Amino acid sequence: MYDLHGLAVRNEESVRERYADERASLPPAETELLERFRACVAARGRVVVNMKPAALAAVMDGQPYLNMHEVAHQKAVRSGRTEDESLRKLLGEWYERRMTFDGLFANGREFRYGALSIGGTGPTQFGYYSVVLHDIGGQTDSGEVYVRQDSLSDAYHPRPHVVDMDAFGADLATHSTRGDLAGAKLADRVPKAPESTWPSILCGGDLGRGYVEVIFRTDVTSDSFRVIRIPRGEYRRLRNMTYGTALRRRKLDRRARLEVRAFTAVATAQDKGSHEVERV
Amino acid sequence: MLEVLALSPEDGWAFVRDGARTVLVRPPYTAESSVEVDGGAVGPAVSAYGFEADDKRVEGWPHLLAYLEERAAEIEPDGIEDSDDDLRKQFIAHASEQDLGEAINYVEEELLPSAEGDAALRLLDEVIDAADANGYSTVASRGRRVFADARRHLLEGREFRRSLSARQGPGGLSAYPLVTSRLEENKARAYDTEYGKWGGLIRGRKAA
Repeated sequence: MYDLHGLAVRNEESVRERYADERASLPPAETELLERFRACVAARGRVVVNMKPAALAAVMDGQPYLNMHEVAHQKAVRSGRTEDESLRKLLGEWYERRMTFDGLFANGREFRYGALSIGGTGPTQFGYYSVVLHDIGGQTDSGEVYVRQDSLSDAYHPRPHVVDMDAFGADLATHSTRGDLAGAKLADRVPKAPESTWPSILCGGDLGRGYVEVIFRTDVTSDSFRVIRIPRGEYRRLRNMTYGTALRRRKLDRRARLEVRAFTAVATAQDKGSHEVERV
Repeated sequence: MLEVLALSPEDGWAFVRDGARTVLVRPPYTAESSVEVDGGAVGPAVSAYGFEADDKRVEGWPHLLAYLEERAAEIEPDGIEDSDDDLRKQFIAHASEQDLGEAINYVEEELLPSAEGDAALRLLDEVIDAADANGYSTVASRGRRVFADARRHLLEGREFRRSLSARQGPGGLSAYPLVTSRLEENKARAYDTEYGKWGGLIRGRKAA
């Protein structure tokens, strides 16, 4: 089995070199901008996990944030199925991919996934609450590992189910080289774009694969939350939905109540000082 | 034909294939809340972000919404049964000064123009209490001003109804077709409802 963090550590020099090569290929005016971006990510880059209302409400209620294996275990206990049957049902055509990948690494079933962010909404296609976590390990063995993009996409080959470990290993960075990884990945875009757009270029702007993935093993609870970011439009919608409950004849349906419950929990926790809320 | 690729039943979110496009469908299911996404997002959504794989095919958007409804109904309740009022009161009790100000805007821009007097007074009452408790004096003063206006409108509505009732002589209201149609129009509105229940609140709240 591979040690994911060990692979990222071994790749540190290569990531720095790749960044230096990309920077050297730019015209002088763009070199400085790219370096500013790299430094910004190195200084301010944080792990975000985008959550949908149900997941956020559960964590705010004191439950841990579950990965797929833990969700499958929970469903197996409730349904009487085996954990593997639950996983197959939950993952469908992605079952082999997930199991192949997780099976390659020590503690692979404990992996959780997030994205590298310097602000903005994060990948909202996975949830409009972008939860910024407190530092989760940095350079320790249990620390986070940064992947150039979604870990199950490019280095995975479906027939037979294998991961190209050379390609995958070359896409990894540690906490201290995450700025180089992001800089190398986005060298052709960042220097040409206004600085105000860098957060969305790094994370969330493409509503698809536009992010640097983070794999980590630390449990996520509400104590892990540093900031909760929410798009302004969603904040306004949820606030008005909450105020709209004053119209008693118009009851919230179950999903709307879940949205309002998560929103209320976020506002309450902010007022109590446990974390900040940023409208982005 | 739409194909559901992945969904989150409790949230009502779904990745849906619509021809060559992949669309993320979310409540409140408006044109703005549903967005086209890169098809590559579905894999990580399922394998890392808690969506469930699915392969349901449905004929058109109404059937899709019905299917999402059906899947949501399969989820066991989590046992937490906050009422709508509880949630709103909790939010307001912890709301920032800005959000309390926005509640007053909501009253002015949404509730009062829709003649939702009861709801307006209910919300303002809670906002004023929260503003007082947190020392947000500007918001509290503004809330009292709007409350007084809303109360006046509510009372005027009541007087209007009374005067119409007093005219019910020979021929009744049918002698006043315009008034009759106005009354019908107002039937569904808040001026017509629950005044007695809210009379105590209205009398109890001091105007600015």
